[in-house]
Amino acid sequence: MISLPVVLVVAGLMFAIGLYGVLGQTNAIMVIMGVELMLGAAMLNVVGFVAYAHPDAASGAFLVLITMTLMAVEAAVGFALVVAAFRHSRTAEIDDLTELEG
Amino acid sequence: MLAETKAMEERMLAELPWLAPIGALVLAAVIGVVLALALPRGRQGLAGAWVAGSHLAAAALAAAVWLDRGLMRVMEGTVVVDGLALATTGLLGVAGAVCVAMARPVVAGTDREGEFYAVLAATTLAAAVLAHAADVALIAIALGLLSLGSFILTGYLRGARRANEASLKYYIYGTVAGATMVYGFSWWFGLAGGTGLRTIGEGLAQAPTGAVVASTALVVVGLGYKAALVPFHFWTPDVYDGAPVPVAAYLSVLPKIAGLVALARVLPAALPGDLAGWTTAMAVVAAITMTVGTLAAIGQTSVVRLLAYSSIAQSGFLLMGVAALEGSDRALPALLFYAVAYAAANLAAFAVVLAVQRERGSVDVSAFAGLGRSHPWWTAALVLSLLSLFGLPPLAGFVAKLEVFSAAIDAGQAWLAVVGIAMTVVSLYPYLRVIAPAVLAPAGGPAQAPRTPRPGLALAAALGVTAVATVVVGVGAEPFLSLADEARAMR
Repeated sequence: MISLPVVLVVAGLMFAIGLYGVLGQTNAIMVIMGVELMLGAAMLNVVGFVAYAHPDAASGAFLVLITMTLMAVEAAVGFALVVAAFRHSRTAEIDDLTELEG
Repeated sequence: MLAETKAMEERMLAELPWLAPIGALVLAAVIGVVLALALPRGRQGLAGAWVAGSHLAAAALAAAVWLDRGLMRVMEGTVVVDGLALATTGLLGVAGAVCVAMARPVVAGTDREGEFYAVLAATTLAAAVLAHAADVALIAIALGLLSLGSFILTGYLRGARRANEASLKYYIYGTVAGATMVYGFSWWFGLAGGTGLRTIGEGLAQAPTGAVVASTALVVVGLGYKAALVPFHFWTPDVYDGAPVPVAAYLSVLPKIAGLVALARVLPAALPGDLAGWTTAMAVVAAITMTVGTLAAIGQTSVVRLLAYSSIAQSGFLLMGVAALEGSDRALPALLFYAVAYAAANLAAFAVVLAVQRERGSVDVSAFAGLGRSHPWWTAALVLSLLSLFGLPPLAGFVAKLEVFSAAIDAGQAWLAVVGIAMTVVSLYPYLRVIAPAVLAPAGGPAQAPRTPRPGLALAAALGVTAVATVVVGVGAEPFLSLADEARAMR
């Protein structure tokens, strides 16, 4: 039986996997995917809370819609930046971008 | 139900005049895009004039709303028009116009000039909305738009590899921090059952402390990264260094101030009565931020990187004002006054860096040698702005530091004021490392081919306005302080 704690744990795992992807992966595309997972975790959290704890809170649905839009727009800009970087240096590996001293 | 919706609609329409400053920025962005598309290549500067003009109009409208209409919570509680929001919008409008003037000589003639101004306007719009937002969904939108605009501005000169790399790094830091914040918001929503800050404040007061502390930490990541607080500051020097200088100036002032104002609005509202001990946590972050920023500035050879670390240190001082919010009535005025003083001095410093870069082709400390002989006015502005960032009386930075230190002491955080004073003293060294060669060294410097003979009228105007403001806000601090105090009373 699915209950609120199950949803929250799954969302927590998604967030952790996304964070691992961000910190552990060196390919910019994989990092962007990691961020998508983190935002997905936030949405799952809200959906779980709306379904089990706050059925009357319409603002939860609004928050999910906003997050979804944010995800789409961020991914679009992110891929544009990766493509631009790739044109310059023929790589999508973040560790190879060393023009700035960091 | 239908009648209820209709009444709500009418209420919202009647409340629209309170949002006039935001409306001016919306028009700045939308008409800016249209102008960028419609104007021929040679006349793209008109789009810049439009965007700068509507920035100033937004500032004027903020003043008009302040005088005419006063405090109001509008749009069903999602937006707050109070002294903090209006004062911040006024500052953002003026600072944004100055940045457009600084950017003009850099982007003029490039093939995406008009678009640059439009994106800049949209970014300022996001910053202004963030200052008004009283609902976490609106904060998520505003912060997202603010970040995206900043990424695009950074990578605007597509041909420049460094700008592109800076933009990608900024993007990765920014989206991760933003996603972490939204995840924190999802917990706040779950704990409180709503997205309005007031609802969240009531809900979190009942919630278990552990959950409140953990979710608040997640939220602070997102806002702290915008404000370049340690340990979310790593992107700052790389991004300022890689971005065009006017963009670095913009990023060091507008998104930073918006982020700090958002912290000043979110934390007291969502965590009423020092819930989860957030004031102490912020005080510790402030102390670490000013220490790390000041110490890291010492070894820098590039003036832009030096200013980047200096701006991190300044975030720490600004955060002192946030940390004192629960304990002292002087905190909010101090925060606002510090923001004005910081914006004026930092923009003036970046304007001189830009002028030097355009003439000598470098932003290294060595490029500033002998500046005093060849360009006495630039040097005067540079000395004034850096000494104001340090906090020398009677400049604006001195009064600002005095205000935040007294607010900290008033709030019972005297230890933080001691750290602040110590770091102020240390910070003289990095600033002097730029000032000394500029003033003392013989004329000349590395003789590289000058790219442009004159700095241009727009840049000169930006430099003049900010340098004069640095002095005037300091010498004639009284009216500004009483205005800032009024902003607190309008809450």
